[in-house]
Amino acid sequence: MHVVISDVDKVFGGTRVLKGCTLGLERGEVVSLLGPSGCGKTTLLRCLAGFLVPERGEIRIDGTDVTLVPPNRRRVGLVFQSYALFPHLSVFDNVAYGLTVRRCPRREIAERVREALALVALEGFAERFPAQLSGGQQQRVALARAFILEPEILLLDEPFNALDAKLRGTMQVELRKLVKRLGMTSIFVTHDQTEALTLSDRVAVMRDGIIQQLDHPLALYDTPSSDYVAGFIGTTNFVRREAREGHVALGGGLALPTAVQGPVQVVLRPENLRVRAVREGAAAPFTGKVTFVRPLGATVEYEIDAGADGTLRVVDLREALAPTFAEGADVAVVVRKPEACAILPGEPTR
Amino acid sequence: MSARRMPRSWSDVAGGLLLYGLAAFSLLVLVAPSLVVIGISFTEKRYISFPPEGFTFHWYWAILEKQQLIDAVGVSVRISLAVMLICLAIGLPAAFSLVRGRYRGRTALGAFVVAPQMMPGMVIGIAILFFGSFFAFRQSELMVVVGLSVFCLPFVVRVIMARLAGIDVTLEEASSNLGADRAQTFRRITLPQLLPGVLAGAAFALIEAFDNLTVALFTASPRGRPLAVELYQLVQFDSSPIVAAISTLEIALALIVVLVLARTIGLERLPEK
Ligand SMILES: Nc1ncnc2c1ncn2[C@@H]1O[C@H](COP(=O)(O)OP(=O)(O)OP(=O)(O)O)[C@@H](O)[C@H]1O
Ligand SMILES: [Mg+2]
Repeated sequence: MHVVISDVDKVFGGTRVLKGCTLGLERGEVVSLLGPSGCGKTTLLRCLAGFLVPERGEIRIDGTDVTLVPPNRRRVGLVFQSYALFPHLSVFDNVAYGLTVRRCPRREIAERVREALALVALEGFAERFPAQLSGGQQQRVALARAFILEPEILLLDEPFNALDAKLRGTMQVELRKLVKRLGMTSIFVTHDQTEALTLSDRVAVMRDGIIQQLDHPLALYDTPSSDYVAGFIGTTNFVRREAREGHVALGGGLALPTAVQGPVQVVLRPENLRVRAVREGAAAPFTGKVTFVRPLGATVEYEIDAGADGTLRVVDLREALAPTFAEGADVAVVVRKPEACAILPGEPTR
Repeated sequence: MSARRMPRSWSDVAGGLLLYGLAAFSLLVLVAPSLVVIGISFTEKRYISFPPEGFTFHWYWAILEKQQLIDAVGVSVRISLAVMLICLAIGLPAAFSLVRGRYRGRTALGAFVVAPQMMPGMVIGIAILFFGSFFAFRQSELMVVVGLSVFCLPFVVRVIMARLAGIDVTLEEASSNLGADRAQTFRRITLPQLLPGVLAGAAFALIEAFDNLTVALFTASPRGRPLAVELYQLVQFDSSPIVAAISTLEIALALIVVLVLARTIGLERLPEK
C-alpha cells in the first residue's frame, strides 16, 4: 500500500468530523471520494496534506508514519476547493511557485511552466493575474500549479466543479492520462457520480466522517455494503423482507438464498426487473399498476405502484416494435437475475 | 458613438449633489488654513499677517540662519525614524499574534493594545514624564521616542491587523503544500500582501512622530528639542513669518509622503486618524 489512513479522528470544537476514517491506496491508483456536503471530504484531504493533525489514528506513506510531518515535506500535492491562487502573482509565477521555492534554474522553470499551461489549455494567459481570469480558468491554473511538481500523491478537491460540461470532459480524460503516465497516486473529491465512475480505479463512499465502502465502481454498484451506498450510486429499489432458514421470500414463489437471519432489505436495480402482463397461473413476485411511463426508445422506464412494497422503478429493455404498457395498466414485475440481488441485513439506515 | 448611461433617479441626483457639497465644504475647512499659512510664508511683511503682501523667499532663507531650527529638524528626523522602527518591530509581531494566535484572552489583549489610541497625547506625555521620574529617567530624546512609540503603536498595530485579517490563510497553506518553508511563505506570500498595511503604518508613525507636539512638549529636554516644540516656542516670542515657511515645508513633506503612498498602495488603505 502506498498511502494508508487508519482510524483517523478529527475534532473541531467538540464535534467529531472524522470518526475513525480508514482508507488505503495502492501506488498509482486513482480513487474518487464521493459523499454529501459536509461529510468530511475536505477535512480528510487536509489531514493527508498535513494542515490538520488528527486527534487519533495515523497516516502512512510508503510505510512511514507522516502524521506529524509538516506539509512542505510531504510531497503531497493538493488542488484546493477554493483554488487558493496567489493574487499578487501572475499566472506564470503561480504555476512556477513550487519550482521557484526549490530553486530550479530559470530556463527549466520557463519550459515546464509552458508545458503545464499547455496541458490545461491556458497558453497565452501567463502574464495575467488571477483576478483577471474566469472561475474555470483559475481552477485550471490551480491544477497546473499542482501537476508541475509531479508529486507522488495528488489530492484534488472538486477540481472540475467550475468547468463547463465540454471542458470538464476533456480535462477529466487529460487528468486521468497524466496521472496514469506519471504514476501518481491520487484521490479526488467529487459530487458527480458519473465523473467518479469514469475517472477512478476505485470509489470511496463517505458518510458522516466514515468511509462506508471502498471498491471498484461496478462492485460498488453490484454489491453495496449498505443501503446508503446502494442508494448513493445509481437508482435502486429497496424492498423489506424477513430472512428465515437460509432464504428470503420475495413473493410469487421466488426465494433468494442468504446466510443472514431476521429483517433484510433486498436491493433491486431497475434494470434487473422486467414488466410483463399479468397471466393466470404464472406467479410473479410483484404486481401493481403502472403510474408513469417514460418511453425512451431502446429502453422504457416504468414506475409501478406495488402496494406494500411501494413504488418500483423498472428500466425495461424494449424489443423492436413492441408496444409499451399504458399508465393505469395492471402488470406483473419479475426479477431477471435473482442471484444479482444484493441482500442487506437489518433495518433501513438511510 | 456617445457612451450610454443608466438613467438616474432623482434621489441619486440629490444624493450626488449632497455628497459634492459636503466634500467641497470639508475641503474648504481643511485646506483653507493651509492656504493661509502658505500665503503668509511668502509675505514681505516682518510679522505674521493676512493677507500677505508682496512675494519673497526671504523667510525660507532665514530658516537656514537659525541654527536651533536646523538642529531641531535633525532631532525630529532621528526621533521619527526611531519611532517608526520601534512601532514596526513591535507592531508586526503583535498584529500577527492578535490576528492569528489561538489563545485565551486574545480579544482582551487586542483591546488593551489599541486602547492608548483613545488617550490624548498630552496625557501620554505627562504619564511618561511622571513614570520616568520614578526611575530617574529624565526628559530626553529617548523619552520622546518612548512616548511617541506608545502613542503611535496602536494605529500601526491596527492597520497591520486589518490587512492581516484580510489575508486568506489557505494561501499560506497552498504555499507550504508547494514545498515552501515558513520563511519562504512569509517572504513570498504573506509579506507582499501585508505590505500596504506595513507601509501605511510606517508612514503614519513617521509623519506623526515628526510633527507631534502634545507628547513631545512634556518629554523633550530643553536642549535638543524636536521641531514641533521648537516652533511652538518660536511663535511665543517671535511672530516672524519664518514659522509659516517651516509649516509650508512640512505640508509639502506630508503631501509628498501621501502622494508616494497613494501611488504605491492606494489612498483608501491609509489609516484614518
Ligand atoms: N476549521 C473548521 N472548524 C470547525 N468546523 C469545521 C472546520 N472545517 C470543517 N468543519 C466542519 O467539518 C465538517 C466537514 O467539513 P468538510 O469541509 O470536510 O466537508 P466536505 O465533505 O468537504 O463538504 P463539501 O462537499 O461541502 O466541500 C463540516 O460540518 C464543517 O462545518
Ligand atoms: Mg469540501
